[in-house]
Amino acid sequence: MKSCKWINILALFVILFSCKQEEGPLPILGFESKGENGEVTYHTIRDWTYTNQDSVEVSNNDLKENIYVADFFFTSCPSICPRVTKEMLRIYDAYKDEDRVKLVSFTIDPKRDTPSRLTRYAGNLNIDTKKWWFLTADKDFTYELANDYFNVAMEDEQAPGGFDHSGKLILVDQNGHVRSFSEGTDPEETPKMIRDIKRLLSETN
Amino acid sequence: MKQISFGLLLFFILAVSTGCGNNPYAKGEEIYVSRCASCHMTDGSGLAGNIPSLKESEVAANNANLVCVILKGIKAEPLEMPAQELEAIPLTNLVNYINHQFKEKTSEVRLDSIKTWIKNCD
Ligand code: HEC
Repeated sequence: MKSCKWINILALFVILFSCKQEEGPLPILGFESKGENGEVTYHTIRDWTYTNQDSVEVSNNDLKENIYVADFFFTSCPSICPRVTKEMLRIYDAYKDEDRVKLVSFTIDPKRDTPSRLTRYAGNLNIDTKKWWFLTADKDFTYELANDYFNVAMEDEQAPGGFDHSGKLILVDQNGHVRSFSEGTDPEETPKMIRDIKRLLSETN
Repeated sequence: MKQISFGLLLFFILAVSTGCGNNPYAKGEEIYVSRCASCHMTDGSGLAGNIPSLKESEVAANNANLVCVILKGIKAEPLEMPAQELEAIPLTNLVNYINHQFKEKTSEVRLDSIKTWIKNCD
């Protein structure tokens, strides 16, 4: 798990160096590799299948026509999650009527966060669960997946609530490429995320 | 002359430092930030239907109830309010900070009232 942390930090550097400008198409973030024929492969989120708050199976394939913002959280989290969810809610409100934008929150605590609990949590937020999914699956898969989204998630008895994780919001395009990120714990970073979503939308229509 | 200007400077520093910080409950603020703000937010607004806003809370509006909620917590679904271990003095600071920050009209709460309310929640 330690080595993942380093990969994350490295990935962050790549991100930091590649996203200075605020015009034109958003950069594709993360490592890229060149094949023998010179073809470039970009960092891509792996395929996933999860159970949503309504106990329905959904996958990244269902988002092929959409761009989405992802975060990792758990409902009984006493530390950063409520703030991060609040910023997700701001993004939700900003794009309420834009069907191409979705939000996806992965729980890192599937034991406690059953679909019925996620339903209540989502219901209390008063959001449309067709637009904003709350997803649960095997925790080990989620910890691995978090790395694809440049987030850290792992069990840690010392951490508040029993999990160590980061609160990045990640913007993903139709091809599963990461195009922007913001720190979900910092409300001042959310307006830029909202602008980046608009930029990505204008690129894809 | 030197002494006068030094005195003036001191006065100025004092005036600025007390005039600008409009929160007289710095200790209470520290406790709020470290124990409550992650859930109820720095501005007390909470998280939609999941975590109540302390500005609009009827429970928080009553000091005795506020004290009991802080000490006992609330078992609830899907989120619960964790009970806090706080002695009477820091609790007084916290309650005064919350009242000052999030309520329209309040008067300062004293240590002996807090002690009575603590007894009454058991
Ligand atoms: C882990 C998150 C969390 C922390 C930390 C937390 N609370 Fe709460 N608080 C909650 C939740 C959730 C509720 C609502 C419980 C329910 O459903 O009744 C709540 C309810 C309350 C209420 C009752 C509000 C109402 O109208 O019902 C008050 C008052 C309150 N909290 C004050 C505080 C104070 C003061 C602190 C810091 C000492 C604090 N809370 C720390 C999550 C938290």
